[in-house]
Amino acid sequence: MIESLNSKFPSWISNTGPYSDIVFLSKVSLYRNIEGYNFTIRAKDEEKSEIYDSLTEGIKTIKNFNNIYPIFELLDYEREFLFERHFIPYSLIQDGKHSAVVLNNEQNNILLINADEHLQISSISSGFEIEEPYNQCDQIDDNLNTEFVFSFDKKLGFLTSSPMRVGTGLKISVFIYIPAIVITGGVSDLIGDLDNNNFSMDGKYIDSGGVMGSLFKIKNEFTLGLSEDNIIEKTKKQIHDIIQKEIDAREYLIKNARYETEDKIWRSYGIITNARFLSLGDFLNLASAVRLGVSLGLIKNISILDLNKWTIQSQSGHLNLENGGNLDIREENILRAKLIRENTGR
Amino acid sequence: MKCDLCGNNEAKYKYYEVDSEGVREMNICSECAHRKGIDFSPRTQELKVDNIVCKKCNLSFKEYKKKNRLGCTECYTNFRSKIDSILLQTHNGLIHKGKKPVKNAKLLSMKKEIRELQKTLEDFVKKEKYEEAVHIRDKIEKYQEELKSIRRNK
Repeated sequence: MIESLNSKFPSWISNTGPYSDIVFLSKVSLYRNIEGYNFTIRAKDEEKSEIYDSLTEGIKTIKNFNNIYPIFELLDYEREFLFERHFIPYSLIQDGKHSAVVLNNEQNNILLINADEHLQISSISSGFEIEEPYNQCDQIDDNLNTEFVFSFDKKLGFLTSSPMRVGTGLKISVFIYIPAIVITGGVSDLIGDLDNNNFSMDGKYIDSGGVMGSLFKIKNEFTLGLSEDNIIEKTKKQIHDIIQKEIDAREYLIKNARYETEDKIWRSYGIITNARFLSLGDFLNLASAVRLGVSLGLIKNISILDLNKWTIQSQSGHLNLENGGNLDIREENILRAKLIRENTGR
Repeated sequence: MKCDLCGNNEAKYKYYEVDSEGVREMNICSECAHRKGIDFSPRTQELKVDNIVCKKCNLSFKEYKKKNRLGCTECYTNFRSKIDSILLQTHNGLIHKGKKPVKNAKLLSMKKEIRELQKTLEDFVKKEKYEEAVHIRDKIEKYQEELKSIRRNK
C-alpha cells in the first residue's frame, strides 16, 4: 500500500522554495497529548490502543487526511522509506506498535499517532519557509481540538512527556547545507553560538567519519515562555544569520581559493555522473559539492530540484521499495550510481 | 551491599576517590563517611529526589533522568521542584505565553450541528428541493461564521 507514495513525490520535493540552494526543507511540528491518559512512554497497551482508535477515528473528520499507514503493518524497508521522507522518527523503525502516520495527498501535512507524544502535527515546506507550514499546523490543531481535549495547564501550557516541548509544543527544524562554513572551519563556532541561543545543531547524515554532505538540522530547544509568533521570529532570525554566514564563506572561498573550490566541484560532478558504485556517504558528499556548483552558477545541467530528489531517492528504503526489497549494500551502491547516471543522460 | 571500607555496615553512599590513577568508585556506610569527614548532604538530597515517585503513574525521578521523559501530566506537579530548574535552563521563563486550546464543548456541538445540516442540505439537493436547500445553506454559513469568531477569540 505504500507503493503509491513512491510513485508520487511530496509537494516539498517536487517544488523548490526560498533559499533552496542552501536550505533543503523546513519542518514545523506541534506536539499534543490527549487528556486522561499517561504519556506514550508510560501508557499501557490498552491505553495506547484506545488513543490509536480515537485519534484515527477523529482524524477522519478533518479534510484531506485520506492516507493512513499503520506502522506495525509495514516491512522494515517501508518504515525506512517513511523515515527518509521525514514522516516518522527513527524510533518508529524499531517499534511501531500502536503507531500510525496519516498524510494528506500532497504529503506535506503529517499526523503522527503514538510516537514521542500521543499526537504530532507536522507540516513540511521546501526551502526556508516557516510561516506557511506553521499556519497549516495551527489550523489542523484547531480542527482536531474540536474533537479532542488536549492536556493543558494554565501556567505551563500544553503538557508533553519531554519538558523540552512543554508550553507551545512548537518545534521548528530547518535542514541546511553549509559546505563553505564546513570547509572554512566555522562549524564549532556556529554550534557554540546556537547553543548559547538554545538552538540545537546536528548532522542529518552521520557515519564514523562525521557529518556527511554538510547537511545539518537546526532546531529550537525553547518552547515555553514565548508566544508561537516570537518563537518563529527568533528562529527565522537565527537561520537568516546562518544563511548569511554561508554566503560570506562562499565569497571568501571564491576570492581566496577559487581554483581549489572549482576543482572540488568539477571533480565531484565528474564522479557522481560517471560512477558505477556510489555509497550513500559518497553520494551525499559529492552531491553537496555539486549543489555548491549549481548555487555558484558553474553547473547548469543539474538543478537544485534534481539534487533534492536524488537525495531522497538514493536512500536505502527508497531504493528497496523501488526495486522490490531485500537489496544488499553492494546492490544499493550499484542502483544509486545508476539512478544518477540515468538522470544525467550518461 | 557492605561498606567497601569497614566491610561491616551496610553501604549507604557512593563515594568517588580521585588520585593519579583515575577515579575509584566505592560504596561506604554512614560511619565511615563520618570518619572521613565527607559532607554528603547535596548527594543525599539528590538521592532523595531520585526516589520521589509520581503518585499517578509511578515513575520515579531516577527513571525520568534515564530518558528525560515524564510519564504523565501529574509528573509536572509531583516533580515540581526539580522540573522548574530543568525548564529554566532551556526556556524563557515558566509561564506559557502561547496559544490556548479552543473552548471545547461549544465548538464540539456546533461542529456536529454543521455536519448534520450538511447532510440535510445534500438530501434536499438530491430531491431537488432547492428552496429548502437555500435556507439550510444560509444556516450553515451563519454557523460557520460563528465558529470562526469563537476561534478568533480563543
